[in-house]
Amino acid sequence: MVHINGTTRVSDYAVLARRHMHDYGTTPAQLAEVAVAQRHGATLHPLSVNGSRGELSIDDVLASRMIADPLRLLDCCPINQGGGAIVVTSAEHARSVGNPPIGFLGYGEGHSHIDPNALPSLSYFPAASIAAETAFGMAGLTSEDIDVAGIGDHFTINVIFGLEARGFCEVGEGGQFVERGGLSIGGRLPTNTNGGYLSFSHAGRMGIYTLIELVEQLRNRAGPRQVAGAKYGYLNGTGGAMQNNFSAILGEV
Amino acid sequence: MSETDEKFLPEDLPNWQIPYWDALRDHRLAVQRCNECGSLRNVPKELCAHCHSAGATWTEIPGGGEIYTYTVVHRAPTPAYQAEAPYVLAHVAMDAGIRMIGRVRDIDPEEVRIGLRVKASYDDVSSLWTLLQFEPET
Repeated sequence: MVHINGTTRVSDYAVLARRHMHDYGTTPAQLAEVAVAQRHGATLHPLSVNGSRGELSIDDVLASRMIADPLRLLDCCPINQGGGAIVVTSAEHARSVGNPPIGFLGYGEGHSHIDPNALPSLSYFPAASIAAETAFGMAGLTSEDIDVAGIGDHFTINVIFGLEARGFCEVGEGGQFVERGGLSIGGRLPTNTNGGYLSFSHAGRMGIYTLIELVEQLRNRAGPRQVAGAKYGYLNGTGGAMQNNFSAILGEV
Repeated sequence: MSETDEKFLPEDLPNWQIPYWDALRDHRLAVQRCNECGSLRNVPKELCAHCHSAGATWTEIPGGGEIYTYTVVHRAPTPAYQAEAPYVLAHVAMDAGIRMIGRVRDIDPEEVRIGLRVKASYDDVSSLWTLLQFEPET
């Protein structure tokens, strides 16, 4: 019965973005920063779906057509075909074939609600905080240890929710955090450096690409996208409309 | 397929959800009130989201509220909806203390604001189904 009113997955997130803008003054230009930073990473990845379209500017995003206000076309991931795979093996075997073994140092899940009506606020999502706290606790690390992040980005606003929920910035300050290329390679927290769902690929279980990119980064094999000295990575995926969250900390094992 | 069908009417509803739809058909709003903690449920649920109790009593609530958040949909899910785009979808904080989702009719999308007072209205889409929507409170 969720879709009987003409809702779409975009509109499900648009209402969350609208409330975040209302509560914290987040702007469409700040949302656009996420898409712009990630497109740059995609231009440096030969397998990305949108990299060949070239760099984006904030004005490009703001000029793209409205899908569900305030989310515009370039705030939304495309849908495309594709696939990815990972090989799971022992650390010893990975080493023996010349690959630094990257593993989960910690992981966690959080599930807060089913219907959006059951949450007191639609601009902060405790499920993401629970997942991240569990993962960081298991790894014995803090946000300051993280060199590179992969945060599920079905829409630009998701990344801001993910940053705030983990405490990479204060709740409400995600918009400022991403300004001036905050998520770019070389920025304060390089995030979705392959382009993410927005510009790399949104095919099937697209979190696989986020995971692969983090492994490449932590193996120092990300080529022109490489984050210098990346040692620890933060992975976060979301399901539904911020109801379900999964987080993991990656590093060499 | 009729245009109405293209607007995703409910299907295969369990019996315990029927009172919500019966009330809408009578142009009333009814939600479950948890027998244990008193929380209201929307959409209909088998368990309370707050205390996880099963027991609930159907309760009529007033139709007034204010817009908690909203979007204006420009790209709709089906041609039948697209014919009506752009349209306003809102999460409404009802005076009864629960949020409900619906279209907001009879308003210029440019005029919609968080905090705007609205009241429930009822869209009789067929002889069997009535959908909850909202309109500005006058």
